[in-house]
Amino acid sequence: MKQVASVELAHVVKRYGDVIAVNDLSLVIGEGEFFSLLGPSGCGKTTTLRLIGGLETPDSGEVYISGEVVNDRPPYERSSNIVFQNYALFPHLTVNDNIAFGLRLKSRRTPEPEVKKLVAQALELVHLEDFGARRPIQLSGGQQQRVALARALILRPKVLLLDEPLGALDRKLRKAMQKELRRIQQEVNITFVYVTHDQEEAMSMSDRVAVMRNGDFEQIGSPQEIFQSPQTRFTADFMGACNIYSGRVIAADAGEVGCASAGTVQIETETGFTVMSRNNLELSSGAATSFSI
Amino acid sequence: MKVMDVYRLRKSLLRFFRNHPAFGIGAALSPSAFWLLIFTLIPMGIVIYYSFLTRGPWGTVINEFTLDSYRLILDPLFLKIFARSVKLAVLTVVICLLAGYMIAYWIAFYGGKRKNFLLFLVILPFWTSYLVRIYAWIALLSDHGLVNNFLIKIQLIDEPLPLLHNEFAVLVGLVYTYLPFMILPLYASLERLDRSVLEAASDLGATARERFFQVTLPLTKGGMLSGSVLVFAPALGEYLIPELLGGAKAMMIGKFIALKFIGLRHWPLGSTYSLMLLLMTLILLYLYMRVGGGKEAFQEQR
Repeated sequence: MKQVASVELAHVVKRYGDVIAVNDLSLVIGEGEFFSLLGPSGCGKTTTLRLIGGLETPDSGEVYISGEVVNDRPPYERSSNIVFQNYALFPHLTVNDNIAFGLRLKSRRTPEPEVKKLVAQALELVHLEDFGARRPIQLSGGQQQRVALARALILRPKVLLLDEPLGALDRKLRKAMQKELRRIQQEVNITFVYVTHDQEEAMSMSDRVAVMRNGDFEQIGSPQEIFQSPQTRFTADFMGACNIYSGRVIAADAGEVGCASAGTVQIETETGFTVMSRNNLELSSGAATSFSI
Repeated sequence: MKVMDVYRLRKSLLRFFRNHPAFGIGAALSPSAFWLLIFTLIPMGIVIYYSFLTRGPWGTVINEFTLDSYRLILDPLFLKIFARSVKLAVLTVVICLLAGYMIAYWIAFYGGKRKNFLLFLVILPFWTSYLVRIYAWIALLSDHGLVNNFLIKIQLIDEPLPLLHNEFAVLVGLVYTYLPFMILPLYASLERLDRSVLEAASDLGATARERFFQVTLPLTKGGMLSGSVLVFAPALGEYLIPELLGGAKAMMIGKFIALKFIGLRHWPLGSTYSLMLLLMTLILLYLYMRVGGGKEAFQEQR
């Protein structure tokens, strides 16, 4: 993890009536990181994103952007921008005017020649140089998606929040856009918080991934960590592991705490055979557990 | 074999329509064409026919072609009353737009679970007779009506205000009657407005005010235009409201035309003025659509 925290959540809770959408989340995302929130629908990942962006306010806990508490700041006063799932382009404006929307607002008052220059740069960044005069309705899904990206990036936000931006695209286009997004992220070096339910997508693009379930984090780590050593049965299952067995620890050697070479653990499965494994979960004898091969 | 006959008939009919596509289209459109013919084209044709006839003695109509009625269309009185009608109709549209937008906006965004109930309240006045509702305004606005009595009682005024039998009273009646026709299309377009587009505007830095003028308003232009047409056209030709609330000083074109038919018993002239009203309404609406970017506004949003 890098030193400066770009986004920080501290014990954030969000309820809708009786339903707890986000339950006591704490998280630090570093500057320039590509961070993914991964989970099935209804797990609270979009709510988390909207809490960072200011479209929702937390019931308790704090949201920080670049070290400042932003709980009470409306979205238009936050240095974050969102790319919406359905793109949410302005249908009455051309691509150029869509992208220039934020720059032309009173709070920024960008002079018109400057706007023109920045819009041209933004179009170039997303490879849509020849589409500036079109209306959103005249563009394909992938093109609309890139306009939405340009519209947000042109404001140079400290954090870019992406809500399943590739969800509506077909598989082939999605693959291409994944590469494209990663390229753009490295080019502009802005923190990306990326919401997706597609584990493959999260794995291929992210620096770190948080797996979510029922408004809580199951596991946070690099794609390799999460894929190779899932810490919960849910994570393993969600990552697509097939052979999951339940069992009980019959012998455990804790090893030295904090040491990379953890001890070993011996597990007897319900079906009656025994396996040995590295004990990186600090399991003790008698604990119920599950594992996959 | 009756079944065979029906079968054969059907087959030959289908063959006929296949070989004569023009008849096929005609047959397919015939139900709508039929109603259009009965309720629009035939009455229209009768009015056009009458406008070219001669007025006989005692108000009869003689079946003799003449252009006499058309020579009278530039009557300054007609033009003056027409101008007043346009003014009142435009004012009605403007007031309905302002008030209707606020009401529709409030219902669409803050109505919550009561939305349907609130819309029901908007159309509730249609359940009673229009005539009765206009009469009710007489009771409210007359010299000894509720409004004047109340103002005198709280000693704001000594003499009753002249609220009835003038253009003000007509305008009140027009706005009251046609406001629902503005609210409903506005509500429909506000309800259809994609909420995430509004969120995007806020997220990009727009304040509530900027968001309203740069996103909400342009995206509900279609509703504003169709509401305006629904209010303007009937308000311009309104007969009953100026008759009951306006008196002689606030005569509108509908009353003027009625006088030609009933008072003067000059059916050809009345028909000619009716056609003029129709023509001028069409021209004004066409110009309004052009200025308001009509073509684009009626395209499907998104």
